[in-house]
Amino acid sequence: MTPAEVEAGLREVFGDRILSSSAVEEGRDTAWPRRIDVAVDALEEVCRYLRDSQGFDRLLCVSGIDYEGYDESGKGKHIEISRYEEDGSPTPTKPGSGDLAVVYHLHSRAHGGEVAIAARVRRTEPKVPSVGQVWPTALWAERETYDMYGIEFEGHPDLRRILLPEDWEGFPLRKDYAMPSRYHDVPLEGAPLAVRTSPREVREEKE
Amino acid sequence: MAAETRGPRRNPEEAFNAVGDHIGGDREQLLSFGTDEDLASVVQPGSDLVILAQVQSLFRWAQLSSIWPMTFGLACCAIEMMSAAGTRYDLDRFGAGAMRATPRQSDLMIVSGTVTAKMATRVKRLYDQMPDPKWVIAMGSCAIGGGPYFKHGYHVVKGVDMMIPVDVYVPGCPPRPEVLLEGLMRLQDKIRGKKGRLVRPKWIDDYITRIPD
Repeated sequence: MTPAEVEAGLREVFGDRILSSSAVEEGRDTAWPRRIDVAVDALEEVCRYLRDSQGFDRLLCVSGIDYEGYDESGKGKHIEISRYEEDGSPTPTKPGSGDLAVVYHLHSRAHGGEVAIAARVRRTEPKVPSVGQVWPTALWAERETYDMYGIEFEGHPDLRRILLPEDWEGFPLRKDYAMPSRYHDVPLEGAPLAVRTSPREVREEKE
Repeated sequence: MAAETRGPRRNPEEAFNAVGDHIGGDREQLLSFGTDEDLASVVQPGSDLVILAQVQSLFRWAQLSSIWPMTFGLACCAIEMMSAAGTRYDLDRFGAGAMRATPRQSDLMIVSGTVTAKMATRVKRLYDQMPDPKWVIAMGSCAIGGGPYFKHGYHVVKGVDMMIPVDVYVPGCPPRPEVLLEGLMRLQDKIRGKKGRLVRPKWIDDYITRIPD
Protein backbone atom coordinates (compact mmCIF):
# COMPACT_ATOMS: atom_id res chain seq x y z
CA MET A 1 0.00 0.00 0.00
CA THR A 2 1.47 3.30 -1.10
CA PRO A 3 0.17 6.84 -0.57
CA ALA A 4 -0.73 7.07 -4.24
CA GLU A 5 -2.83 3.93 -4.04
CA VAL A 6 -4.73 5.23 -1.03
CA GLU A 7 -5.46 8.49 -2.79
CA ALA A 8 -6.43 6.76 -6.01
CA GLY A 9 -8.86 4.58 -4.12
CA LEU A 10 -10.39 7.60 -2.43
CA ARG A 11 -10.77 9.49 -5.70
CA GLU A 12 -12.38 6.50 -7.33
CA VAL A 13 -15.02 6.16 -4.65
CA PHE A 14 -15.67 9.79 -3.72
CA GLY A 15 -14.86 11.64 -6.94
CA ASP A 16 -14.75 15.39 -6.63
CA ARG A 17 -15.54 15.33 -2.95
CA ILE A 18 -11.82 14.73 -2.51
CA LEU A 19 -10.62 18.30 -2.83
CA SER A 20 -6.85 18.20 -2.82
CA SER A 21 -3.88 16.40 -1.38
CA SER A 22 -0.34 17.09 -0.33
CA ALA A 23 0.93 15.15 -3.35
CA VAL A 24 -0.42 17.88 -5.59
CA GLU A 25 0.36 20.85 -3.37
CA GLU A 26 3.82 19.93 -2.15
CA GLY A 27 4.96 17.30 -4.61
CA ARG A 28 5.26 14.69 -1.87
CA ASP A 29 4.29 11.69 -3.90
CA THR A 30 5.69 8.79 -1.96
CA ALA A 31 6.01 10.00 1.59
CA TRP A 32 3.73 9.26 4.50
CA PRO A 33 1.75 10.92 5.86
CA ARG A 34 -0.26 12.14 2.93
CA ARG A 35 -2.63 14.92 3.72
CA ILE A 36 -5.94 14.72 1.89
CA ASP A 37 -8.54 17.47 2.02
CA VAL A 38 -12.10 16.29 1.77
CA ALA A 39 -15.47 17.98 1.69
CA VAL A 40 -17.15 18.24 5.07
CA ASP A 41 -20.20 16.21 4.10
CA ALA A 42 -18.01 13.33 2.96
CA LEU A 43 -15.87 13.22 6.08
CA GLU A 44 -17.56 10.39 7.94
CA GLU A 45 -17.92 8.24 4.83
CA VAL A 46 -14.27 8.78 3.95
CA CYS A 47 -13.20 7.73 7.42
CA ARG A 48 -15.40 4.64 7.34
CA TYR A 49 -14.07 3.72 3.90
CA LEU A 50 -10.47 4.15 5.02
CA ARG A 51 -11.04 2.02 8.08
CA ASP A 52 -12.92 -0.82 6.33
CA SER A 53 -11.30 -0.93 2.90
CA GLN A 54 -7.85 0.59 3.32
CA GLY A 55 -6.91 -0.82 6.71
CA PHE A 56 -6.56 2.43 8.64
CA ASP A 57 -7.70 0.97 11.92
CA ARG A 58 -6.16 3.49 14.28
CA LEU A 59 -6.99 7.12 14.91
CA LEU A 60 -3.88 8.87 16.16
CA CYS A 61 -4.99 12.42 16.67
CA VAL A 62 -7.76 14.91 16.09
CA SER A 63 -6.61 18.49 15.77
CA GLY A 64 -7.95 21.83 14.71
CA ILE A 65 -6.59 24.59 12.53
CA ASP A 66 -7.46 28.27 12.54
CA TYR A 67 -6.77 29.77 9.12
CA GLU A 68 -7.11 33.34 10.36
CA GLY A 69 -4.23 35.32 8.89
CA TYR A 70 -3.47 32.98 6.01
CA ASP A 71 -3.42 34.64 2.62
CA GLU A 72 -5.12 33.45 -0.57
CA SER A 73 -2.44 30.93 -1.39
CA GLY A 74 -2.63 29.52 2.08
CA LYS A 75 0.98 30.30 2.86
CA GLY A 76 1.00 33.38 5.05
CA LYS A 77 1.12 32.31 8.65
CA HIS A 78 1.98 35.35 10.72
CA ILE A 79 -0.70 36.97 12.80
CA GLU A 80 -0.57 39.28 15.75
CA ILE A 81 -2.14 37.50 18.66
CA SER A 82 -3.83 39.28 21.51
CA ARG A 83 -1.47 40.89 23.97
CA TYR A 84 -1.74 42.86 27.15
CA GLU A 85 -1.66 46.62 27.42
CA GLU A 86 0.55 48.37 29.94
CA ASP A 87 -2.23 48.41 32.53
CA GLY A 88 -2.78 44.67 32.21
CA SER A 89 -5.94 44.75 30.14
CA PRO A 90 -6.00 42.65 27.01
CA THR A 91 -5.83 44.46 23.70
CA PRO A 92 -9.12 44.44 21.84
CA THR A 93 -9.13 42.09 18.92
CA LYS A 94 -11.38 42.15 15.93
CA PRO A 95 -13.30 38.98 15.23
CA GLY A 96 -11.51 36.64 12.90
CA SER A 97 -12.76 35.76 9.47
CA GLY A 98 -10.56 32.85 8.44
CA ASP A 99 -11.83 29.33 8.09
CA LEU A 100 -11.47 26.61 10.66
CA ALA A 101 -10.43 23.07 9.88
CA VAL A 102 -10.32 19.75 11.60
CA VAL A 103 -7.62 17.17 10.87
CA TYR A 104 -7.70 13.46 11.58
CA HIS A 105 -4.43 11.56 11.60
CA LEU A 106 -4.93 7.91 10.77
CA HIS A 107 -2.52 5.03 11.02
CA SER A 108 -2.66 1.51 9.74
CA ARG A 109 -1.27 -1.30 11.80
CA ALA A 110 -1.64 -3.56 8.77
CA HIS A 111 0.66 -1.78 6.32
CA GLY A 112 2.12 1.08 8.39
CA GLY A 113 0.66 3.87 6.31
CA GLU A 114 -0.37 7.18 7.76
CA VAL A 115 -2.74 9.76 6.29
CA ALA A 116 -4.17 13.04 7.48
CA ILE A 117 -7.76 13.78 6.55
CA ALA A 118 -8.62 17.47 6.70
CA ALA A 119 -11.99 19.14 6.39
CA ARG A 120 -12.37 22.90 6.21
CA VAL A 121 -15.42 24.70 7.51
CA ARG A 122 -16.65 28.28 7.66
CA ARG A 123 -15.89 30.16 10.84
CA THR A 124 -19.48 31.36 11.06
CA GLU A 125 -20.82 27.81 11.05
CA PRO A 126 -18.13 25.45 12.38
CA LYS A 127 -19.96 22.14 12.18
CA VAL A 128 -18.33 18.82 11.33
CA PRO A 129 -19.80 15.31 11.50
CA SER A 130 -18.44 13.26 14.38
CA VAL A 131 -16.49 10.12 13.58
CA GLY A 132 -17.15 8.61 16.98
CA GLN A 133 -19.12 5.86 15.30
CA VAL A 134 -16.04 4.88 13.31
CA TRP A 135 -13.37 5.12 16.01
CA PRO A 136 -14.77 5.42 19.56
CA THR A 137 -11.52 7.02 20.68
CA ALA A 138 -12.45 10.06 18.61
CA LEU A 139 -15.03 11.09 21.18
CA TRP A 140 -12.60 12.51 23.69
CA ALA A 141 -10.33 13.96 21.02
CA GLU A 142 -13.28 15.72 19.45
CA ARG A 143 -14.27 17.10 22.82
CA GLU A 144 -10.80 18.57 23.13
CA THR A 145 -10.99 20.07 19.65
CA TYR A 146 -14.34 21.58 20.58
CA ASP A 147 -12.83 22.87 23.81
CA MET A 148 -9.97 24.66 22.08
CA TYR A 149 -11.47 25.71 18.72
CA GLY A 150 -15.22 25.67 19.18
CA ILE A 151 -15.75 23.29 16.29
CA GLU A 152 -19.02 21.48 16.87
CA PHE A 153 -19.16 17.80 16.06
CA GLU A 154 -22.62 16.80 14.96
CA GLY A 155 -23.72 13.42 16.23
CA HIS A 156 -21.35 13.48 19.20
CA PRO A 157 -23.23 12.00 22.16
CA ASP A 158 -21.60 14.14 24.85
CA LEU A 159 -20.09 17.27 23.36
CA ARG A 160 -18.86 19.46 26.20
CA ARG A 161 -15.56 20.90 27.36
CA ILE A 162 -13.01 18.37 28.51
CA LEU A 163 -10.05 20.39 29.83
CA LEU A 164 -11.29 23.85 30.65
CA PRO A 165 -14.06 24.59 33.14
CA GLU A 166 -17.52 24.24 31.70
CA ASP A 167 -18.32 27.92 32.12
CA TRP A 168 -15.16 29.11 30.38
CA GLU A 169 -15.76 31.80 27.79
CA GLY A 170 -14.25 31.60 24.35
CA PHE A 171 -12.03 29.10 22.64
CA PRO A 172 -8.37 29.68 23.53
CA LEU A 173 -6.59 28.35 20.47
CA ARG A 174 -8.53 30.52 18.08
CA LYS A 175 -6.35 33.36 16.92
CA ASP A 176 -8.87 36.06 17.78
CA TYR A 177 -9.13 34.86 21.36
CA ALA A 178 -8.87 37.62 23.96
CA MET A 179 -6.81 36.69 26.99
CA PRO A 180 -8.83 36.86 30.20
CA SER A 181 -7.38 38.65 33.20
CA ARG A 182 -9.49 36.79 35.74
CA TYR A 183 -11.70 33.75 36.02
CA HIS A 184 -14.52 34.29 38.52
CA ASP A 185 -12.70 35.33 41.70
CA VAL A 186 -9.37 33.90 40.57
CA PRO A 187 -7.01 36.62 39.34
CA LEU A 188 -4.89 35.46 36.44
CA GLU A 189 -2.93 38.72 36.33
CA GLY A 190 -2.11 41.20 39.00
CA ALA A 191 -0.11 42.07 42.07
CA PRO A 192 0.60 39.63 44.89
CA LEU A 193 -1.20 39.82 48.20
CA ALA A 194 0.34 41.89 50.97
CA VAL A 195 3.49 40.24 52.22
CA ARG A 196 2.86 38.40 55.45
CA THR A 197 4.27 40.32 58.37
CA SER A 198 4.44 39.06 61.89
CA PRO A 199 6.54 39.89 64.97
CA ARG A 200 8.76 36.95 64.29
CA GLU A 201 9.67 38.39 60.94
CA VAL A 202 10.56 41.91 61.97
CA ARG A 203 12.51 40.75 64.98
CA GLU A 204 16.18 41.45 64.56
CA GLU A 205 18.57 38.60 64.74
CA LYS A 206 20.80 38.85 67.78
CA GLU A 207 24.45 38.67 67.04
CA MET B 1 22.93 11.09 71.05
CA ALA B 2 25.34 10.52 68.23
CA ALA B 3 28.43 8.51 68.92
CA GLU B 4 30.93 11.04 67.61
CA THR B 5 29.92 13.59 70.22
CA ARG B 6 31.54 11.56 72.99
CA GLY B 7 34.26 13.36 74.90
CA PRO B 8 34.62 16.91 76.07
CA ARG B 9 33.26 19.62 73.84
CA ARG B 10 35.51 22.51 73.08
CA ASN B 11 32.66 24.75 72.15
CA PRO B 12 29.72 24.94 74.54
CA GLU B 13 27.62 26.45 71.82
CA GLU B 14 27.86 23.27 69.85
CA ALA B 15 26.28 21.28 72.64
CA PHE B 16 23.69 23.95 73.02
CA ASN B 17 22.71 23.62 69.39
CA ALA B 18 22.35 19.89 69.74
CA VAL B 19 19.48 20.42 72.14
CA GLY B 20 17.71 22.84 69.91
CA ASP B 21 18.80 25.75 67.86
CA HIS B 22 18.69 28.98 69.81
CA ILE B 23 16.25 28.18 72.56
CA GLY B 24 15.50 31.64 73.79
CA GLY B 25 17.16 34.84 72.84
CA ASP B 26 19.51 35.23 75.79
CA ARG B 27 22.14 32.62 75.95
CA GLU B 28 23.38 33.72 79.36
CA GLN B 29 20.19 32.52 80.93
CA LEU B 30 20.66 29.04 79.61
CA LEU B 31 22.64 26.19 80.97
CA SER B 32 26.03 25.77 79.49
CA PHE B 33 26.90 22.24 78.55
CA GLY B 34 30.62 21.92 78.81
CA THR B 35 30.81 18.22 78.16
CA ASP B 36 28.70 15.59 76.63
CA GLU B 37 28.03 14.09 80.03
CA ASP B 38 26.61 17.41 81.20
CA LEU B 39 24.33 17.37 78.24
CA ALA B 40 23.23 13.81 78.87
CA SER B 41 22.44 14.58 82.49
CA VAL B 42 19.76 16.99 81.42
CA VAL B 43 17.54 14.19 80.29
CA GLN B 44 17.84 12.43 83.64
CA PRO B 45 15.00 13.27 86.00
CA GLY B 46 16.07 15.58 88.75
CA SER B 47 14.65 18.49 90.67
CA ASP B 48 17.65 20.75 90.19
CA LEU B 49 17.79 20.51 86.43
CA VAL B 50 15.73 23.32 84.98
CA ILE B 51 16.13 25.00 81.64
CA LEU B 52 15.09 28.60 81.55
CA ALA B 53 13.81 29.71 78.18
CA GLN B 54 11.11 31.83 76.64
CA VAL B 55 8.22 29.51 76.05
CA GLN B 56 7.51 31.21 72.75
CA SER B 57 10.96 30.35 71.55
CA LEU B 58 10.48 26.79 72.68
CA PHE B 59 7.26 26.59 70.70
CA ARG B 60 9.01 28.01 67.67
CA TRP B 61 11.73 25.44 68.00
CA ALA B 62 9.11 22.71 68.15
CA GLN B 63 7.32 24.13 65.12
CA LEU B 64 10.39 24.43 62.97
CA SER B 65 11.55 20.95 63.93
CA SER B 66 8.39 19.22 62.81
CA ILE B 67 7.04 20.99 59.76
CA TRP B 68 4.58 18.57 58.26
CA PRO B 69 4.03 19.29 54.58
CA MET B 70 0.89 18.44 52.74
CA THR B 71 0.97 15.77 50.04
CA PHE B 72 0.12 18.16 47.31
CA GLY B 73 1.73 18.03 43.90
CA LEU B 74 0.51 20.02 40.94
CA ALA B 75 2.96 19.45 38.10
CA CYS B 76 6.50 18.40 37.30
CA CYS B 77 7.91 20.15 40.39
CA ALA B 78 6.08 17.52 42.41
CA ILE B 79 8.47 14.93 41.01
CA GLU B 80 11.37 16.86 42.52
CA MET B 81 9.43 17.24 45.75
CA MET B 82 8.92 13.48 45.88
CA SER B 83 12.61 13.03 45.24
CA ALA B 84 13.41 15.43 48.07
CA ALA B 85 11.20 13.39 50.35
CA GLY B 86 12.76 10.14 49.25
CA THR B 87 15.75 8.33 50.66
CA ARG B 88 18.46 10.13 48.72
CA TYR B 89 17.68 13.67 49.89
CA ASP B 90 15.55 12.71 52.88
CA LEU B 91 13.42 15.66 53.87
CA ASP B 92 12.84 13.83 57.14
CA ARG B 93 16.28 14.93 58.37
CA PHE B 94 14.73 18.35 58.91
CA GLY B 95 11.63 17.00 60.55
CA ALA B 96 9.58 17.66 57.45
CA GLY B 97 9.21 14.13 56.19
CA ALA B 98 5.73 13.39 57.42
CA MET B 99 3.72 14.20 54.34
CA ARG B 100 0.13 14.45 55.42
CA ALA B 101 -2.68 13.52 53.09
CA THR B 102 -5.04 16.06 54.58
CA PRO B 103 -4.71 19.80 55.06
CA ARG B 104 -6.05 19.52 58.61
CA GLN B 105 -2.84 17.91 59.81
CA SER B 106 -0.45 20.00 57.75
CA ASP B 107 1.74 22.95 58.63
CA LEU B 108 3.29 23.60 55.25
CA MET B 109 1.87 23.78 51.77
CA ILE B 110 4.48 23.31 49.07
CA VAL B 111 2.84 24.66 45.93
CA SER B 112 4.83 22.53 43.54
CA GLY B 113 3.79 23.31 40.02
CA THR B 114 1.57 25.28 37.69
CA VAL B 115 -1.50 26.76 39.32
CA THR B 116 -4.24 26.78 36.71
CA ALA B 117 -7.42 28.78 37.00
CA LYS B 118 -9.30 25.58 37.61
CA MET B 119 -6.97 24.49 40.41
CA ALA B 120 -6.56 27.89 42.05
CA THR B 121 -9.85 27.72 43.93
CA ARG B 122 -8.85 24.32 45.29
CA VAL B 123 -5.46 25.66 46.37
CA LYS B 124 -7.18 28.47 48.22
CA ARG B 125 -9.62 26.11 49.87
CA LEU B 126 -6.89 23.71 50.96
CA TYR B 127 -4.93 26.61 52.41
CA ASP B 128 -7.97 27.79 54.32
CA GLN B 129 -8.46 24.31 55.74
CA MET B 130 -4.96 24.18 57.21
CA PRO B 131 -4.73 25.03 60.90
CA ASP B 132 -2.60 27.91 62.10
CA PRO B 133 0.32 28.35 62.21
CA LYS B 134 0.79 27.54 58.54
CA TRP B 135 3.37 28.33 55.93
CA VAL B 136 3.60 28.25 52.17
CA ILE B 137 6.52 27.53 49.89
CA ALA B 138 6.05 28.53 46.25
CA MET B 139 8.16 25.98 44.41
CA GLY B 140 9.25 26.56 40.85
CA SER B 141 8.83 29.29 38.28
CA CYS B 142 5.16 28.55 37.64
CA ALA B 143 4.11 28.96 41.24
CA ILE B 144 6.28 32.06 41.60
CA GLY B 145 5.24 34.00 38.53
CA GLY B 146 3.57 31.86 35.91
CA GLY B 147 6.77 30.41 34.51
CA PRO B 148 6.65 29.74 30.78
CA TYR B 149 2.95 30.71 30.74
CA PHE B 150 3.56 34.20 32.08
CA LYS B 151 2.39 36.06 28.99
CA HIS B 152 0.01 33.99 26.92
CA GLY B 153 -1.08 31.34 29.37
CA TYR B 154 -4.81 31.90 29.25
CA HIS B 155 -5.44 29.39 32.03
CA VAL B 156 -2.54 30.00 34.45
CA VAL B 157 -2.49 32.08 37.61
CA LYS B 158 0.68 34.13 37.23
CA GLY B 159 1.99 33.53 40.69
CA VAL B 160 0.29 31.70 43.52
CA ASP B 161 0.97 34.69 45.76
CA MET B 162 -2.05 36.35 44.21
CA MET B 163 -4.16 33.70 45.91
CA ILE B 164 -2.42 32.87 49.18
CA PRO B 165 0.44 34.49 51.14
CA VAL B 166 3.80 32.92 50.36
CA ASP B 167 6.64 32.65 52.85
CA VAL B 168 9.49 31.27 50.78
CA TYR B 169 10.03 31.31 47.03
CA VAL B 170 12.09 28.47 45.61
CA PRO B 171 13.10 29.28 42.02
CA GLY B 172 13.93 26.77 39.35
CA CYS B 173 12.25 24.95 36.53
CA PRO B 174 11.96 22.64 38.28
CA PRO B 175 14.18 23.25 41.32
CA ARG B 176 16.44 20.41 42.24
CA PRO B 177 15.75 18.72 45.57
CA GLU B 178 18.72 20.50 47.13
CA VAL B 179 17.09 23.83 46.38
CA LEU B 180 13.87 22.73 48.01
CA LEU B 181 15.87 21.68 51.06
CA GLU B 182 17.48 25.12 51.07
CA GLY B 183 14.03 26.69 50.90
CA LEU B 184 12.90 24.55 53.80
CA MET B 185 15.89 25.65 55.86
CA ARG B 186 15.16 29.27 55.08
CA LEU B 187 11.60 28.67 56.23
CA GLN B 188 13.00 27.22 59.44
CA ASP B 189 15.07 30.37 59.84
CA LYS B 190 11.94 32.41 59.35
CA ILE B 191 10.04 30.47 61.99
CA ARG B 192 13.02 30.75 64.31
CA GLY B 193 12.97 34.50 63.95
CA LYS B 194 16.04 35.14 61.88
CA LYS B 195 15.81 37.69 59.17
CA GLY B 196 16.40 36.36 55.72
CA ARG B 197 19.75 37.18 54.24
CA LEU B 198 21.05 36.40 50.83
CA VAL B 199 24.79 36.42 50.50
CA ARG B 200 25.86 36.45 46.90
CA PRO B 201 28.74 34.05 46.35
CA LYS B 202 31.97 35.41 44.97
CA TRP B 203 31.81 33.35 41.82
CA ILE B 204 28.62 35.14 40.81
CA ASP B 205 30.34 38.52 41.09
CA ASP B 206 33.25 37.19 39.06
CA TYR B 207 30.86 35.84 36.48
CA ILE B 208 28.94 39.10 36.19
CA THR B 209 32.10 41.16 35.64
CA ARG B 210 33.11 38.85 32.84
CA ILE B 211 29.86 39.29 30.89
CA PRO B 212 30.54 41.60 27.91
CA ASP B 213 28.28 44.60 27.50
